[in-house]
Formats: sequence, C-alpha cells, structure tokens
Amino acid sequence: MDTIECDVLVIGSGGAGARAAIEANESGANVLIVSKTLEGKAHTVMAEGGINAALAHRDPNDSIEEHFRDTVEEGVFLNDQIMAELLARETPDRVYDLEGYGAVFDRIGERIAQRPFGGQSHPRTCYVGDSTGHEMIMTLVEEARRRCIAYHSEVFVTKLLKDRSGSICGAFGLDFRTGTYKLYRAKAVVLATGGAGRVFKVTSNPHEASGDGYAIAMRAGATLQDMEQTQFHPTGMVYPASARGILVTEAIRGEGGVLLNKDGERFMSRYNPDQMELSPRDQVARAIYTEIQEGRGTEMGGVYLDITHKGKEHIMEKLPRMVKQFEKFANVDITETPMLVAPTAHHFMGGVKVDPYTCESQDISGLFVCGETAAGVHGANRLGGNALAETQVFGKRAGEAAARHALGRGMPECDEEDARREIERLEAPFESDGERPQALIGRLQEVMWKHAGIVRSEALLEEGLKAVGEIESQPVRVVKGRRFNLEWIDFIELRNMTLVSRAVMMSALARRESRGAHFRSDHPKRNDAIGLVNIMSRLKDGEITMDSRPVTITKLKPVLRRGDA
Amino acid sequence: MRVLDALHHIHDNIDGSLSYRWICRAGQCGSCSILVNGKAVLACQEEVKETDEAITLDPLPIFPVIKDLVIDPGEAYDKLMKCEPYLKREGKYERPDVLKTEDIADVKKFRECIECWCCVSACPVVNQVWDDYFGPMVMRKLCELKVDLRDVGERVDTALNEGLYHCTTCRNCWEVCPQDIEIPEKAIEHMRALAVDEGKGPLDSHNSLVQSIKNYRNPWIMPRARRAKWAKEFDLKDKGELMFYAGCSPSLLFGERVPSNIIKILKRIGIEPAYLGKDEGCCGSPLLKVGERKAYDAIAKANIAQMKAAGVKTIMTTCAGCHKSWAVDYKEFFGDYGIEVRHVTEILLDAYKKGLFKFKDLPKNHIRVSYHDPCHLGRGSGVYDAPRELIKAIPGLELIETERNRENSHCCGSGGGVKTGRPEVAIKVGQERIRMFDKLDVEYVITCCPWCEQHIDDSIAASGSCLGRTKDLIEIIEETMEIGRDE
Ligand SMILES: Cc1cc2nc3c(=O)[nH]c(=O)nc-3n(C[C@H](O)[C@H](O)[C@H](O)COP(=O)(O)OP(=O)(O)OC[C@H]3O[C@@H](n4cnc5c(N)ncnc54)[C@H](O)[C@@H]3O)c2cc1C
Ligand code: SF4
Ligand code: SF4
Repeated sequence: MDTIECDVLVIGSGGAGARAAIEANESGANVLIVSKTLEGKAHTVMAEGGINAALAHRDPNDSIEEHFRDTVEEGVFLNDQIMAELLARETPDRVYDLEGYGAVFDRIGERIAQRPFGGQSHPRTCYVGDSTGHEMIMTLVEEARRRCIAYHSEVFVTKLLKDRSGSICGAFGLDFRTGTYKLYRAKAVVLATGGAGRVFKVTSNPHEASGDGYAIAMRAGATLQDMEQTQFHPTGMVYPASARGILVTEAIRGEGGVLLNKDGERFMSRYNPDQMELSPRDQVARAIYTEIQEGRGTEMGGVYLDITHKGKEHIMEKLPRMVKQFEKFANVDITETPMLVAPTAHHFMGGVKVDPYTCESQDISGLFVCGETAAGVHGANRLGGNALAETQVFGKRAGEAAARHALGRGMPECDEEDARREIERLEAPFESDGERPQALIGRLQEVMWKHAGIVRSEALLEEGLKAVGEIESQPVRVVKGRRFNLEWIDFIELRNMTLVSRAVMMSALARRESRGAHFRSDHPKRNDAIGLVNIMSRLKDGEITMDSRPVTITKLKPVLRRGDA
Repeated sequence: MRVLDALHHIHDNIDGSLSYRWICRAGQCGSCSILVNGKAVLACQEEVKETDEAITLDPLPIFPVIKDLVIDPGEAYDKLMKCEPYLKREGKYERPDVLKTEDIADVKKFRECIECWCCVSACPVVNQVWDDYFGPMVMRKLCELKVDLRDVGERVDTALNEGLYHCTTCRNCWEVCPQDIEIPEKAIEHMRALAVDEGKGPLDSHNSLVQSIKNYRNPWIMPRARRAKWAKEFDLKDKGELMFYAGCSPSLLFGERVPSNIIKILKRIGIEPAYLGKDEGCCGSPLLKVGERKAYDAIAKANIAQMKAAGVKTIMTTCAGCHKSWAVDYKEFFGDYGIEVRHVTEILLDAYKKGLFKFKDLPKNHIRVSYHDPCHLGRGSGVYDAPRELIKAIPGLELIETERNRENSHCCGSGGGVKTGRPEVAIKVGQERIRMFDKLDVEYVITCCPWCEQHIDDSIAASGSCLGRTKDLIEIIEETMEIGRDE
C-alpha cells in the first residue's frame, strides 16, 4: 500500500472537481486529483447544451434576479435559496474564468453568445456548439496542466478517512490499473464524484455515475438531502443496447416531432391535450412511461418519436446532430423512419448536505462537496444549463474553502486500522462464493427502474426496498486477477449503488406528495403544507435514518406555478 | 451492434476477466479506443455486422498494455505536457476576450479532440521514432494554439523541435480520427507554411528541391527540356481533350519507363492523349508539403491556366502525388476548375471493361503479389479499386492483401518531403511496411507511384528482404496486354 500526502485531495475530475483543484492550487495549497477515469473523461464531457449565466448579451432584460427566480421556480421551492442566489450571482464570473483559461465559447458579435433553454425566461445559456461540456472539461484540464496539478487516474476511492476528532484525514483508494491500494493523507478533501444515474436501468449518464460519492460520504457520517429528487428526461435512445438511454434532444419535439404508441396513436392527447408533446418534461416522461407500462409500447420497450412529416431538408437543417446520432448508432435515418425513444434517468438533484458558502459537509469537518454530489441548488428539478454552472460556482467555492482549511493546520493522523479493514472488505469477493456483481447490478437497475422510477407509490417503494435488501445481502464473487478487473470494480460499485438506491427509496417514501421530479401516484399533488421541507437521510449502524428540515427560503415565497395542480 | 456491445456480452456471459476501458459509450470521451481488424477505432462507434466473420480486437499499438485491451497512455500525456499544451497570453487575461465567430473557427475544430490517441497509434512515423516525432495529436494542439489570436507561445519552434518535418502526410491520422480533424493538411502543412513564413522552414535538406522547382519546374535540378525526352518517339500533340500529365519523377528519375509504357498501351487501344512536353511543369506538391505555400500557389495557378488554355477536359495522371494535386488539392485551394482528373488505372480499367484489350498469361503462370496503396492515391484521392481490379484481371497473378490495406494502408515512408528531409526516418517506416509484405510470401509488390516504388525498393534493400523488385502496375500491363484476339 502506497501512502501519498497532500494538502487538498480532490476526488473526481469533472467540472466541479477540476475547478476546485484549480482554485485550491491558486490559493497556495498542494493539490492532488484522483479520479476513476483518465484526464478529461468525466461525465461533464457529455454535457451538450450549455451553461447558464445572466450575461444579458442576447436579452438586456435578463438579470441575476431573473436567473435566481427561474432556478427556484423550476426547483418548485425546494432549493436552498442562498445557494440558488449564489449560483445566479457568480456564474457570469465563472464563465469568464473559463474564457480566461482559454475556453472558446460561441460568439454573438464579439461577445459570448447565448441561447434560449427550456424553463428560462431569457436566453442565457452560453454554449460551444453542442459540445459545451467537452469544451469546459478540456479547458479545465488544460488549466490544471498549466499549473502542473498532480493527477492520479484510474484510482477508485472507496472510503473517506477520519481522524480521532472526526475530521477528515484523507481517503483510501484502489488503483485498479495495478490492483494495488493507495492511502491518501490530506488536510482537506473535496468530494466531486458526480451523480448516480447508473442505479437506473436506463440512463443518459456514463458508466462511471454509480453514486460513489453519496455512498462513501454517507458511510463516513455525512447527511444526504433530497435524494428522492431524480430527474428523468422523457426521450432517450432505446436501441442498440450500448446506446440505451443516450439523450435524444428536446429540440425534436420543439421542431414538431410527435409521440406515437405502437398502435400509432398520438397518446399525449390523453395526458395533456393543450400542450401535447411540449408539455413539461416530467409530464411527458410519465406519459411515455405509462404507455409502455400498460403495454402500448413497442417490443423493444419504447414509443415512437416521429419527425418524418417535416421533410428531409428541414430535418437536416435543424437537427443535423440527431440525424448523425441515429445514423451512427442505430442505422436509422430519422428523416424516413420514426425514432424509438423512452425516458432516461438524467440527473440527481439531491446529494450531500453542505454549507451553502463553503460547501463543507455539515457533519464532517474538512470534507467539501460540490457538483452533482452536493445537494441544494436545484431543489426538486434542475434547469437545463444549471448543472454546469453549479460545477463552476461551487467548485471554486469548495476549492477555496478546502485550501483555507488545509493551510491552517498540520497533517492529521490517519488510523491505519481503517485502511486494513477496508482492504479486508475489498478482498472478500475473491474468497467468497456467490453471484457475479454485474448480474446483481442488472437486477438492482431493474428494481430501481420499476419501483423508484418515474412513477412511485408507497407499495412500489416498500417492495423495492425489500428487493434491494435481498440484493445487498447476496454474497458476491469476482474473477481472480488484480489488473483492471472490471468485475472487481463492479463489486465496489454495486455496494455503493445499493446504498444510494436505499437512500433514494427511503427519501421517496418520506416525501408523501408529488413535487418536481418526484411523482407519487398515491399522492399525485404538490402539497406545500407538508412538502416545503428537505428530506434528510443518514447512515447509523448500517441503517438509514430519516429526518426533515424546513427549506432555506430567503427571498422567494412559494407560489403555485401555472400547471401545478 | 457495436463492438462495445460485443465486449459487454463477452464480459457478462463468457469471460468475466476480460478487461477493456469505456466510460460514456456515446463517442464523446475517447476512452474505448482499440484496434478492430487492425484499425484504430472507438469501440462504442464501430459496428459489428451480424454476418461478419470473426473480427480481431487488439489494444492500441505503441502503448504498454495493462491488460487485454487496456493500454497505458502515460507517454502520450508526457509528450503532450512537454509542449505547454495550454493558452499562453501576453500578460493577464482581461475580460472579455474580443473575438468574432470567424476568429475562432479554426481553433474550434482543433479543440474537438477527445484525446483518444487513435491518431497517435495509427501514425507510421510515431510507431518508429516517437521520441523524435511527437505525433499528430500534439501537432494539432500546437497548431490550434498557433492560430489562436490570444496565444503568444513559440508554437512553431516547439513543433519544429518535436518533429514537424517528420510527417509523411500519409493521412492515416485523419482517417482514424473519430472527430474528423484534418491534421495532415490543416495542422501539419499549415504549420510548415507558418514555419516558412517565419524563416524557420523548410529543412536545409529541402532547399535544393525547392530552388529547383522554382527555377527548373522540377525538383531534380534537371534542364526543363529534359523531361520530355521519353516522348520523342511518340509525336504527341500539345492540345486536346485528354491530357497526359506525366509528372516530374516519372519523366526524369525512374528510367522513363512508366510514361512511355503508358503511351504505348494507350496507342494500342486507340487512345491518343495530348502531352505538354517540355512545357509541362511540376505540380508543386513538394512545395506544399514542405510549407512553401506562396511558391506553390503561383505554380498551381499557372498549371491550371495552362490546362484550360490547352482545351483540356480530362487530365490523366500516373504519379500518386500529382494525382492528389490535380484531383484534390487544387480544387480545395482554388475551387473546382472544371477539368476532370483521372488516374491512368481508372482509364485503363474502363478500356478493359469495354473489351478493348485482354491479358495473356505471364511467363510463369502463378505469381503471388501484393499491392501497396500509395497514400496520396488511396486515402488522399480515394482510388483503391481500379488498380486492384486490373491486377485481379491478369491471369496468373494472385493478389494477396497485407494486414493494412485500402483506407487503413500503411505509408511506405517517403511522402511529405520525408525521404528528402529525413531519409533515416523514411527508411524505418519503409522497413515496417516491408515486414508486412514479408509475412505474405509474395514475389514482389505492385504499386502506382514512382516514389513508393523507389522507396519500397530502398527499404527492401535496407531490410535484407527477399522480395523482388517492386513494379509499377503499368509495367505489368504493358507486358501482358493483348489486343483483340477474340475479334
Ligand atoms: C447527456 C447529458 C447532457 C447534459 N447536458 C447538460 C447541459 O447542457 N447543461 C448542464 O448544465 N448540465 C448538463 N448535464 C449535467 C451535467 O453534465 C452534470 O451534472 C455535471 O457535469 C456533473 O459534473 P461533476 O463535476 O459534478 O461530476 P462528473 O463530471 O460526473 O465527474 C465525476 C468525477 O468523479 C470521478 N469519480 C466518481 N466516483 C469516483 C470514485 N469512487 N473514485 C474516484 N473518482 C471518482 C469520476 O471519474 C469523474 O472524474 C448533462 C448530463 C448528461 C448526462
Ligand atoms: S499524416 Fe501520417 S505521418 Fe503525418 S501525422 Fe498523420 S499519420 Fe503521422
Ligand atoms: S486528434 Fe482525433 S484521433 Fe487524435 S487524439 Fe484527438 S480525437 Fe483522437
């Protein structure tokens, strides 16, 4: 086992982790990034649409206040309003930071261009074609390279380490290239491991999004918040298997695409005859889901999205990327054949409960959490373009606070016994007899999709929890061999995914209303009398305990939105 | 089904110990690059057809293998890091950057790189001398920064230090790039042109070639009239709809066999092309390759005007480099000039299909041969089939393909000014190509480019290979064609 020391250990190199590392380095700390993936390959690279910042380049009437309001309204007043306001106030500066590092945003005249995005009152989404995440991550990687920030790739952090006083003292990881262990000693840790889309059978997220950060933080004693708030995008790809869940842009419906079930019926007329295909995201997702559940989906488990009536020329002009995507992946010419689509798990609004200004975990001193791993900004639903903004605003804050924390103290002591126990846990599946982890992950994903997916109810969730419990209790075996052993990685992820799944289900049980992305068929209405609380979950002696706290409301009093029943 | 689906299937159902790398499965992260049937691809993008026979998967070459298909890309990152791969501004950033859409167009295309290292692993020069040539991905980065108006780094110097003139412009990097970044033309040739502008290029060893083209309109310091010597016996007109562009090297360097054979063949089947004789000049390709853009532009424009004045409708080429100049580069730089460009093998294949000639058996009636795709004819201009079909039509010749053929062919090593500028590198690349032919147990190699022909022979000599002398396809056709026996 190698031991490595640094002031600030950053776990994760997506938009949030990379930004935090840069800021900690800027503040004079000695920084080390560890990540499950190679440089620049984090989930953030997949973001396409853009990053919100009220620069008012396209529309002079846009403002910080408007961005703040849009964020909170979309979040159905479940947001931490301090965080939502910080987001709106600081993203413009963070976008310019990116430009300063070298990012090349698309232009309007001589300035950064902005496009309109769903749910926003003004066009404020800054973009780089349809590969904004790629541009951001490459920019941040380059800035990190300029600063020579140390980077350990393909190291899987499996545990956060705390000293006697309960403060963070480092983390423990498996270098899965070599199959050896690494003990990182650090004065402060930034946790930025992204979300957990992969707990669902169908997701737009990459393979790495297994919720490790939620799980390891929870095991270390951190409180999670709003874990029931998982966003489903209505249209993801259905075929081929490896592309299942990959996003199919909303723009297709914007351009006039219609949704049809297997009988050729334009079924949205039964769900929302006024707005049809352009009804709010969660409604469309639920409608498609219901069609499939009730047997009106196609054999492959989807519905049709048909734009062929618009004609080849129009489609080629407006949706070139989608034409390419379907041609490349599914060998389907969308100008002639309808697409197969189904909802796909997209984003976790919930996560670790943090201090709104410093991103420090409320439970563990020295642990700073940002990006999709943290909760608070988005409330019950996330605006398109706000996740990338979150990575930059709170990545910077976390990095700065972590450096401040670290530079003020000596190297804390880690208890090597913790590492030894962790090694025992990780080695167990080599010795044991049992099921292969990927089979159990498959089962878990089915359970989550069916029981904690787009439509939930007490009965479904209770059953689902039981099923997850069974999966959790199964002994697991993995093939021998230490180098790049995918089954071994799957095993570690499985353990994290079951824990996260339980937190999602128990939080979903606790929210006895429907709000934002969370829909309960047994409580189909938003209910402000009981609903203006954040659901909190914690791990105590292996059991998850639930709690709730009133939402942090500063300026915007909850009102009913148009369309909220 | 994608290769990645197949890998998942094997891992989940057959062999759980199989290791491969993947993350986004959407072609956006560049993690899953591997070789499929010898070609660098992203596993998540490469289709497996249901009817396919067994496909071969390998880890990307040149990198150390961690396990199965997983490589350690560390050295690629190290080399990139040596080049300061980030924006260097003059002073501090003061927001905002004042940039217009047209200012960033070139920069943006280069920034689409997803660091998959396909290009690096496919580059024939990197495969031989990586320490001397940092490769296409790095050259792309340096060019991106060079054309970024905000950058003040010494990018041209770095590129020169890290091997800018090692690239043979074989286009393999572009062929495999999942982001379709046109590195050879847009980055390497462009950086060479900038090097020349800054007085830092081309290499000293290129000077005589450059001066010669400027003064004698051929790269070989030969009197202008000398190039037409081979044509004396034919009495060709200098105007006509079909114009034979013989090119410098076929006319001057390699025994004049090829052009005169071409005319002999064509005359036999009743085609009489025109020929500019001593007024024909170099196509300028070597100038473009070494970065002499201004001289190149002047020559190219004059050539086009000359052809137009001669009333030409179709230009027929033989050398691969000339072919790409006329068929691709001129059109790219100066727009479509309204003249069709065909390689001699395409014209001969048409004639053969029309029954204008046949082939007789070769003296020895079974010969195994292989075909080398000249980079500028194949990947450069898309001519793959005509030479192959002709070879297959010749009785007694059996065409055996190397592991790297057609779009994925391996450069002979001579292009891009490398044979002149970096002969030792050219030979190393050539020797690798010879190793591929040596595996096939063929008697000799056929090709369609005088440069390739010469360089393959040089590399055979340097390798101690038993391969026979390399032949231009024209030579074989001349020997074996027969006219109208059945008629
Ligand atoms: C298809 C798609 C399109 C999107 N489009 C947009 C958009 O247009 N606008 C927008 O604002 N948002 C968009 N999003 C959402 C946004 O991309 C993400 O929320 C955001 O990128 C998350 O960034 P992050 O830094 O928190 O985490 P990530 O980018 O997920 O990075 C997580 C990092 O942590 C590492 N890691 C994880 N677990 C471990 C571990 N155990 N040990 C070590 N390292 C670990 C990973 O390797 C990775 O480096 C989109 C999402 C998807 C899926
Ligand atoms: S053109 Fe050929 S030699 Fe040049 S960088 Fe690309 S692959 Fe390498
Ligand atoms: S230039 Fe293209 S092939 Fe090379 S690393 Fe970048 S994306 Fe891959």
